[in-house]
Amino acid sequence: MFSPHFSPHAESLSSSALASSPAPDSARAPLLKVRHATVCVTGDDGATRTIFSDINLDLYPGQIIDITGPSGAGKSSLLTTIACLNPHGRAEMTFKGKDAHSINPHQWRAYVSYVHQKPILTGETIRDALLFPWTLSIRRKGNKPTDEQMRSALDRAGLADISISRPIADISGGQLARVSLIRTLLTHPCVLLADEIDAALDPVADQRIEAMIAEQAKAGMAVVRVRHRSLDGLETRVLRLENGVLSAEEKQAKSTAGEKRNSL
Amino acid sequence: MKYTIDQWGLLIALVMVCAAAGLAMAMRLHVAKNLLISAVRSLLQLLAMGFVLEWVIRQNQWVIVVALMAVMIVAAVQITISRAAGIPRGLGWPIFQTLAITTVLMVGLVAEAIIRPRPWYAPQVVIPIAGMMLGNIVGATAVGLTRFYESMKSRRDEIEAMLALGATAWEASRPSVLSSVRLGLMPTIATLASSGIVMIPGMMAGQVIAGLNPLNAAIYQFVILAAMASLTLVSTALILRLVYRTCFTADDRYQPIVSRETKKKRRS
Repeated sequence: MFSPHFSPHAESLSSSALASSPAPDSARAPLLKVRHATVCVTGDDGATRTIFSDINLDLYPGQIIDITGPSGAGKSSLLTTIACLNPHGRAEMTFKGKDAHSINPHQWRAYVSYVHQKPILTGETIRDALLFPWTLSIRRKGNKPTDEQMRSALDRAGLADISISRPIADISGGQLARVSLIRTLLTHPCVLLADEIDAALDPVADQRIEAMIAEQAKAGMAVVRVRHRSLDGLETRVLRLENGVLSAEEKQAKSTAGEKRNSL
Repeated sequence: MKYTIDQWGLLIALVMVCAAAGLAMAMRLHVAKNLLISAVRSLLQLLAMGFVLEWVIRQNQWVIVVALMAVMIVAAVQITISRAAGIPRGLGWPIFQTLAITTVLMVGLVAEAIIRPRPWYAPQVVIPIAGMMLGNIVGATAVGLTRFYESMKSRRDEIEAMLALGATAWEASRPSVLSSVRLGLMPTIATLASSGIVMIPGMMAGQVIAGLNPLNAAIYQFVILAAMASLTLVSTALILRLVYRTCFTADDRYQPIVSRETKKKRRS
């Protein structure tokens, strides 16, 4: 299923053993290194406001990092800055040691994939929507997923009742969110930036898609999640973004999350 | 036999506009003032064009013909910008390029390749053709630009989703470009299809009134309409190709534009 474009992914596969337990930050080179991430926006009154500045983040293969914090703290802005999508965001980044400026932005976004809060599908049918990434010039030579692969991904996401030839206009908000995530997962990004994709989902559907994410993380994908719900225990680290500062959440938070998960 | 309009004819036309304005006032349509101003403006502009054209035809020099065309294009850029809504500042140069290229193509193809006037710059052929072309593409370009920026704004989430999957700025803009070109071309296609059934287009009407053979006038009109339809497509496609990047940063991040209207509001 891996397209030739994603050959760097193979490297991360070989290092997944190291990744499953978060390596000490100095032990080996991170998959993605973010330095001095800054977002400044100009308001309607013309005044400039800094949402955050100088945020640093290292991501290792297999890690799942959850970012929490009050709404408006800039969680989405941080993810879109890392994905090179935020016009107000600046950051010095490296991917597998290569400087972000030496990778063209479209290729960067194929490696470091952002999944939107508001899911939007294109085309007529579910199949069109899932194959959209292969209509783009960066993947035109890559191998498209087969109907069986699409089918099995939909099944695992709890969408067994949805045929891949179904018109996208017919599906509900929660189904839309899952199809949109599957569209990105099928492209096998090296880093997944998932922005409140659980917002429209019921707890069962949420568990299913988080399990799919965790499965790809085990194969070497690094994940940053901003979650709408409380922690689900899949995360390797929890960071809190507040008042422009990204810091480690207290240990306690994680153990309560674990308990919550058990009680589900 | 030549039928010219004397001062009484002109007076009747003016009385008609005044009557329409009076009617509009009685109906409280709030367009009376605008109607009168526009009518007077149109009369003065047409008379001025008539005088200029008469002079240019009498001079019969290619430098003057080219200079007049340049002035017309610059004025057309200004009109396009004022007609398009919700566009960013700084589109003057791309609009000028678009109008200049299509006008040169129009004059080159229709005047020089089809009509073949002697001398090649014959003002009574070249100037009216350039003018008709500009009149049509100014409308199409303004509609195309307005629709494009509207569409890019309403497709914001879709564009960001496409970019996140690795689309280039062009790939993410393409749906908006296509719908804008289609919309800009629609009036021209409608004219093409309906001309001759209920409507005698202006150029054919003029030639018939001036005493020319109606069949020849029809052929003339068709050539102009066909050329105008194809070049309107060229002009809207060209202008959108030149400006679509204004919605993105240099590294293909989507950036909502600040329209001329908002910028003005902000400054005051």
